[in-house]
Amino acid sequence: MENNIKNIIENYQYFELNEAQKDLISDWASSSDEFDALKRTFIATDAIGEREINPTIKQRLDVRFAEKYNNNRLVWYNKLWVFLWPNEVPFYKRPLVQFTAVCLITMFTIPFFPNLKKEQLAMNETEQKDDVEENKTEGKRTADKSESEIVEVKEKEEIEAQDALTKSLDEDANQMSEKLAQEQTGWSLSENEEAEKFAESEVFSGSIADQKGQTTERLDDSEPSKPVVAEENLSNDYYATDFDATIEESISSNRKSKDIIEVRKKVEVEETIDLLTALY
Amino acid sequence: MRLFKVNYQKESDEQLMKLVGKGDQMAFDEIYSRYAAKLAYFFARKLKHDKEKGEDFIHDLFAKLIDRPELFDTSRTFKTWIYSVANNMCINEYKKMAVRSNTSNGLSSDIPVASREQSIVDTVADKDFSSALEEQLSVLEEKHSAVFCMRHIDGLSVKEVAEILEINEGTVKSRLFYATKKIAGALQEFNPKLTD
Repeated sequence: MENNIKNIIENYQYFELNEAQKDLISDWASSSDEFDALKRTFIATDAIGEREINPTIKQRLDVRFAEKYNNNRLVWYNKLWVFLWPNEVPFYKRPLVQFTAVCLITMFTIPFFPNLKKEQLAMNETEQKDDVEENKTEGKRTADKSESEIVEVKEKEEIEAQDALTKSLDEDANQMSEKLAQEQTGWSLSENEEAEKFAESEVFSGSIADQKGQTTERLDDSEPSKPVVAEENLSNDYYATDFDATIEESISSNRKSKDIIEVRKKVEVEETIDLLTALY
Repeated sequence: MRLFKVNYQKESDEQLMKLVGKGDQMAFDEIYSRYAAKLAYFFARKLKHDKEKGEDFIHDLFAKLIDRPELFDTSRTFKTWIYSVANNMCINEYKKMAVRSNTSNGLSSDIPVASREQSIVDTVADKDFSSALEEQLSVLEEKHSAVFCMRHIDGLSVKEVAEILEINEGTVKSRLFYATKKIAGALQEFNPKLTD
């Protein structure tokens, strides 16, 4: 019997049926009496379909079920797993899911806490430390360079000072030798030149030549003689005093130069010390 | 993996059997509540209203579900499978009863085991319709009453009945038609028009 026939018989009265429905159930019920008998039979079968069962059957089955499936849960980690992952509760209420959710939330929210910017600052400090270290290294390099430059400058200055000293000493020595030569010869080169000039001027002017005839003859004879002016000015005392003065001047100049060098050295040392202290 | 709590009442029988195989007690309870009462009536009808034997059969059938849930053939619906198992249990019992009848006191196996008690109840009920229906079913041949009961009382379709009884659908339809017409004809005396 198809379900639609059963539904028609259970839900309609015979007089409510149309011709199509009557044709459909004609094999089952050709009259209203047969139709009602079928209706009553089907309704009765729906009521008698079940029987009450002794509850001890269910209890025995429960014991059997527990013996089969709960024996595996006696181990401690199975109990722990049952605690963490109970099947009776929804997924989101299981403790393991909740623990993992909390862990994930903390992991993903900690980076957004404002206190953690300190870590970023710490990173910057490290960068600054690196910069400071770089500056220190650069400072050391510059200090080394400056020291080397200062040493070079010092050496140059010392060399220049020594050159100056040697030049001054040479000049003094030359002056000394010239003065000694002038003392021996009786005149200086300047006086000789003046004499030559004077002789040339005397050629063009006869009056002057007449007046200075003795001097021209002495030049032509080329005999060394004491000049007139030199005889009056030069003396042994004068040369001695002049020589001592030049020596003293040279010594004083040497002392001054040494003092200057020492002062410069002190200043440079102080400057380098200051620089180093400032750097460190 | 289930994201939310299982609503066992909305789960299919097949899904519940999978959960039973995993040791889900509540799934087993749901299966039991769905089929225990119907199968109890099925066994009582098949076993001539022998209540104790019917309860033993119920226990044995669900004990099989607990012990070996893998026996459930997933290619079939659970309803047809469990009714076929119950039907086979009854057939085996018939065979045992036949052996006993041949070796014991020679009483006829056609006489229902509990038919006397039922008949007493029926007489006390004085033409109760349900008892009359059951009486008519007991009077019917086994092959007809089985088809009728499976179709109208147990709620199985013709195809499922054919699958459980391992017969053709046409045979089921013919047996069903015969049983229905005979029962309805026998119960016409309860028609209020006629009684009036």
